[in-house]
Amino acid sequence: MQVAINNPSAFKAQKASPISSDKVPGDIAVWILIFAELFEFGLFFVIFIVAKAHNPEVFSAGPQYLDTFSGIANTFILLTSSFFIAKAVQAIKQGRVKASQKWLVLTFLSGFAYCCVKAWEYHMNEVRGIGIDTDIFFTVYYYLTFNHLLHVMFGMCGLLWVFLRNHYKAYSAQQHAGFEATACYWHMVDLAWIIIFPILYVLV
Amino acid sequence: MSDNKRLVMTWLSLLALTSLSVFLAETSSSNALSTNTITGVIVCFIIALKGQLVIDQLVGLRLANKSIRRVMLSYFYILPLLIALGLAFPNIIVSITTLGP
Repeated sequence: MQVAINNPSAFKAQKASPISSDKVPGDIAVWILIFAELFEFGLFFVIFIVAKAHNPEVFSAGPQYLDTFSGIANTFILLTSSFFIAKAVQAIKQGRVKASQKWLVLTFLSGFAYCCVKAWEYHMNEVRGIGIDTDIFFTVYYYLTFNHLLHVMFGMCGLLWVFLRNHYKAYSAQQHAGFEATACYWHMVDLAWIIIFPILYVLV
Repeated sequence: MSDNKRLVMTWLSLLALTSLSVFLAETSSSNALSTNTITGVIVCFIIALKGQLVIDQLVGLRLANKSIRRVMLSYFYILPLLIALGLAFPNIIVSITTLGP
């Protein structure tokens, strides 16, 4: 703001060409949590690779029993929710609290839609007689997807908390670290799904 | 490009890349094993591309902390590479993860 007062043209130039900074989005604590979560998912991706190499027939047949449409729908929902939360962060950085609330609600509703699709998918699996102990593919499938579902639910609790704090004007254009930290966590949930979806539903 | 346009373009690109990977997998699933492996490698490349788009454009790490960005991007380069190697050389994975003779 000081730049704008003293030298408006310099301020305009700074706005036009964003310069890379060393700023940590959110705060460092949330990134430690994100790295820990991604490490956990990473371990299970490695287990998936090893189990697939040892049981190629089971892992080739597995995806054919899954409802690919549910997987695609959930991928689109999560990618869209990541777009919504990015818009929410953009709005709060500009001090537009009402707009940020609207985007937060849309993100939360996307998370809820994801949970509904996942519940429907588990139900359909049960109808087809598929369970966690059907074979090793489904053991890995249930561990990965249920673990991910728990992370989505945890992220939704975070969104709710940020929504309430935002409602009581806890965040502003100057102070929004908690808001951004929750957004980063939500992006992590999406990033994990970006790998889970193709390895379980697409690659045979 | 304005911030709004950049976010919308990123979102649309992510949806398009997802559709492309599903299309590739669906069209190659009935073909030979080698075709499936090539498709798998392309799908892994798409995973890395999608990861980079989310990290740089949606999380906004392109203009933020370089160390965090490097770790996040490494994750999305190393894991898809491992998955691709697992698809292309399953016998090697089996031999290095089997105990005993």
